[in-house]
Amino acid sequence: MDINLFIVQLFNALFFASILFLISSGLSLIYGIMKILNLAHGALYMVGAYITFTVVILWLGLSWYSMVIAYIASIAVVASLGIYIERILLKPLYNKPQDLQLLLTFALIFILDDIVKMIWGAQYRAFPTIPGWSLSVGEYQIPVYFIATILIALGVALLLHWFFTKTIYGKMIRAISYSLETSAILGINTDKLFALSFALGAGLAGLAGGVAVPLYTASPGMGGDAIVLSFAVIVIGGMGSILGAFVGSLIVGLSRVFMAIIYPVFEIALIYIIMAIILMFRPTGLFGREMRERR
Amino acid sequence: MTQVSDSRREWVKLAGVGVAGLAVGYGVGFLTAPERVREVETPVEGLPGVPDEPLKIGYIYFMTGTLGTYGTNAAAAIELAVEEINRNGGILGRTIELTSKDEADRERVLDNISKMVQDEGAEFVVGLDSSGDALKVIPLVEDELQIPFIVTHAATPKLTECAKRRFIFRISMYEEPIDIMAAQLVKELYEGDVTTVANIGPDYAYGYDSWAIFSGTLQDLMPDLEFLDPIYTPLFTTDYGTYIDQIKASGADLLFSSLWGGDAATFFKQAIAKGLFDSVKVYMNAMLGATDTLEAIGNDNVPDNVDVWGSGRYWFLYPPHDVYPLNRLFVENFRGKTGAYPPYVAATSYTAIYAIKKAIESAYVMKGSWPDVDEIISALEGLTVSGPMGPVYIRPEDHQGLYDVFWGRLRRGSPTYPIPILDELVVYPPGKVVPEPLTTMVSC
Repeated sequence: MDINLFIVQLFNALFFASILFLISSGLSLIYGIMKILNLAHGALYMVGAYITFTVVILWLGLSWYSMVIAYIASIAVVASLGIYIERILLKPLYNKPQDLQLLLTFALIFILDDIVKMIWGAQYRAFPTIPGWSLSVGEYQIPVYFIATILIALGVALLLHWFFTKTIYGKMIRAISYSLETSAILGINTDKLFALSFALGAGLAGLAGGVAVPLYTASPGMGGDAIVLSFAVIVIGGMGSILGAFVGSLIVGLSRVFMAIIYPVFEIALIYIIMAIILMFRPTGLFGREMRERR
Repeated sequence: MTQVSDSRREWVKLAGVGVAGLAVGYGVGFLTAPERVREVETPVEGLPGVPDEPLKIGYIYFMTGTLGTYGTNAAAAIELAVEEINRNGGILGRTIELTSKDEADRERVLDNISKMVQDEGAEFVVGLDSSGDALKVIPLVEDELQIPFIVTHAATPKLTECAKRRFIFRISMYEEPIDIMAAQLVKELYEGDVTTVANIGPDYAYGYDSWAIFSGTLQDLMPDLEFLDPIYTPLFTTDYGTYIDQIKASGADLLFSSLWGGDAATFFKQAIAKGLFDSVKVYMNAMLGATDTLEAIGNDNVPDNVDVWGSGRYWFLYPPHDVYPLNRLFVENFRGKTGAYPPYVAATSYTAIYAIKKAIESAYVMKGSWPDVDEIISALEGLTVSGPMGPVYIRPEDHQGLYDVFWGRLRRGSPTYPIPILDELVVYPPGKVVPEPLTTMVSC
């Protein structure tokens, strides 16, 4: 492989890993704090995609500032949706068997799919063109949108790191994830922080959808396909760990892209082989820790 | 004047009383009369030998998930056909009722089909998007359910080419003729202009078969071409960058593809953004002629530096609306119902309902009463039914529906059409591209 091809393929992998990170960080965060495996996380990602599509293509027209507005709108709408889901639907189930939460988030996939169908129709929705120009690397091209996406993912990773290590809310959320009871005894309003955490996770899904939609094609049900690899990411990286989601996304992104070149038959299989090996030697994933008991 | 008027009013009044008296008398007599008399006195309502209860037709498509657009469109077209037929008196006076199941319920495809037939009384089933499902239902339908089953989408050659089925029919054009025509078209238009052929297709039977048929035919026609190793991508891949750069690095100038649906749109858009068409000069996609895919590609996204060709099972502008009004009406009514231009699944599922109607009516003419399953099967074999895609002939030897096969050049839509459209349509009659009955290029 010549060096130019290697460079563009590296960017292909990093772009793919960036989208994966944006999806899986929210999924991992919600699990880490609330111990809820949100099966509807992909559906929230889908809603984010449709919001950005609507703001940019149907309302404002394609430009860099409309993209920024659309991302903010996607985060805001999906995070608010997250608050409603957590307050109205999930909260009554906290002291019930975990199966009920799984069933509820599973049902939400179909409900959100149908709502999307009602609002936007069942047809494919897509950006007519990918925003921005392309950088030339020899005869190959890297769309500048790839680079923007990689920067957004890095920015989100740094913001999350800052939030969890430097802010009082972040520290309280981390405290909850270590021990819910102790946190409650120490006077932390766990109820409010659960809502905040779910909104944060949902908002990340919304952003992921918004960032992905210019390159992908939106359709009801797109979340189901996105969520499967994200599960692989958080199992590899460790459930509940943002650093794990970051490293897991890189592993999955790089292995998929380069396997597609070297031995394409194994392209998807390799990801699950890595996952199986990690589960055998580190059942909690690369950066996971022993899970606290659910309340 | 006044007198006439008055006497007429009197007459009307008298007649009214008389009719009311008769009605009461009839009602009382009807209720008190013994069963036998009632039977005799009941006038014949419909045609002789036609059951009173509605005719139930079941359909099964992907209604949810990423492929849910197929089912939504097919269901809308089926409802359209049923509304039209019921408005005009049903089939020989028998109205049609529908029942449906979701093919996306993967574990229960067979169970759900049985349920529609055995519990809900469906006398016909139409549908199936997945080729895998189409092959899976063969034993169920042929050995157990034994009712006419019309496949309207699943495209594997194996369904009709490997053996003659008794109860299973396919009304939609399938992949082999489309791929054979693609190879003939390359020879006709690009001989001497292209040297290296690449493939990108979905990583399952359809993608493999398509490439085998296209490359096999093309190799016979133009033996000097270089055929590269085909690339297959997992279904619902969202990110084609790595494949696009591989194709670019390979130096291919003709790219064949069997990607479909949203995948075809996603690949195409990313290929433009990554400059693939600086090196690829001809791009042929066997499934691009689908309005939903083209809508996703968007009107401004048709590049000038490459010849893009698309095909499909139906194209909403063919046969031309001015010479074939049935297609115009279908397009108008479908748009009225859904707001979209009909994709191929809409046309084929719509035609399946009319094929059922026509077969029942033909068989009824001969028998004078409602036909049984065997008689309906005989009527379907060799039937010609008019669909939006033109007349469709159901070949008796293999139960495959035959109609014109097309490829068209992709063009920016005019103000009339807000989506890119296939222009310069090249149309071959099925006789030129459809293999002899029960012969195939894939292994059975």
